[in-house]
Amino acid sequence: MSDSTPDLTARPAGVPAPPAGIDPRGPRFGAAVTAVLLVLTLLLGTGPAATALLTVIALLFLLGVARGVQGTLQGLAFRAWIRPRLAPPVELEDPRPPRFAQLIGLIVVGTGLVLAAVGVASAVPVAAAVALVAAFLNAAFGLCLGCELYLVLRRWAPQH
Amino acid sequence: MTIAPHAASTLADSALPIFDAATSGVAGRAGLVLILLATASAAWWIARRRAARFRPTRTPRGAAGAPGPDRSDATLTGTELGAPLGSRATFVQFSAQTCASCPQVRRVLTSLAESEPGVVHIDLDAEAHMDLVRRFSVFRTPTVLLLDADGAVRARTSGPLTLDRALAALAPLPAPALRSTHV
Repeated sequence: MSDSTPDLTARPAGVPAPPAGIDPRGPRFGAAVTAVLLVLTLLLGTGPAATALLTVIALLFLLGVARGVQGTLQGLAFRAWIRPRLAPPVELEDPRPPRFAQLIGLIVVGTGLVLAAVGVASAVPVAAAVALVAAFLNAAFGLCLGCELYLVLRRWAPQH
Repeated sequence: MTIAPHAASTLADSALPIFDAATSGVAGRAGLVLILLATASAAWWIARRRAARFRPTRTPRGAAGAPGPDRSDATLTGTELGAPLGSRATFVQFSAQTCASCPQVRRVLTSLAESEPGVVHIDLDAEAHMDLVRRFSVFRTPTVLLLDADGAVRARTSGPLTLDRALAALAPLPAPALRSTHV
């Protein structure tokens, strides 16, 4: 009469074992760096300088999508300079959610750059503002807005 | 400021003269950035306060808005869940791979199910159960439904969860010993 069968409380069936965990403070540090760069973009307003900086941010997101957050420049900086100064992490985090969030960031910033390329100058600050909200919430409060979008986007996909 | 006056950008600029004035200088832009960050912080704070505790679900009649198909079945069976229900209560957790706080909620509910007799924790991969995700209007992971002994959804929450909140949600549901003597 044991209701709490252990295998029910384990990972849902069909889900592969998660990859090795990462220090959750890494993505937050990376988000803080991204947020600072996005603030600078917004302060530049519209123009070639703002577009160039947003392009750099898009490339950082692209690295995150391709290699995971631990493979971005912020991730490397965190491991080289920040993590040695911190106590060991209390718990490790699945690297897939922040990586998905990097993809959302890339889509937002990339859309802004494409629109700017076809003449919508205000797309650069608008995209930077949207991305800044997400990066700021991640850095300040640990909320991964991009991760939250996953299921919402998935719901739009056709049923099967 | 005379970069290819495109229809959309001129519309955005002329529609908001105050915004236009504020964005013309660095100080104005810095002010807008501060307002943006303050608004985001406030929204986060409000959303967190709302989500942090279990909210009782309304009666099926008034359940969350749109008259979807089968609004009446706010009840789940062990067959639908693929696992038997608890004799007192069942926590149904919707998880996803891209979910940062799912492991924390899983740990809380697993330990709760081990310590409280008659309480079961069922962890579902949301992607593999999109029918339930749509039926119960799950928009984010983790979302947790609290079912009573009959499988009726009594409360729900989403986001990070503490053991105290989970215990508080469990409190109104009768313990199995009480049920067996009175039923």
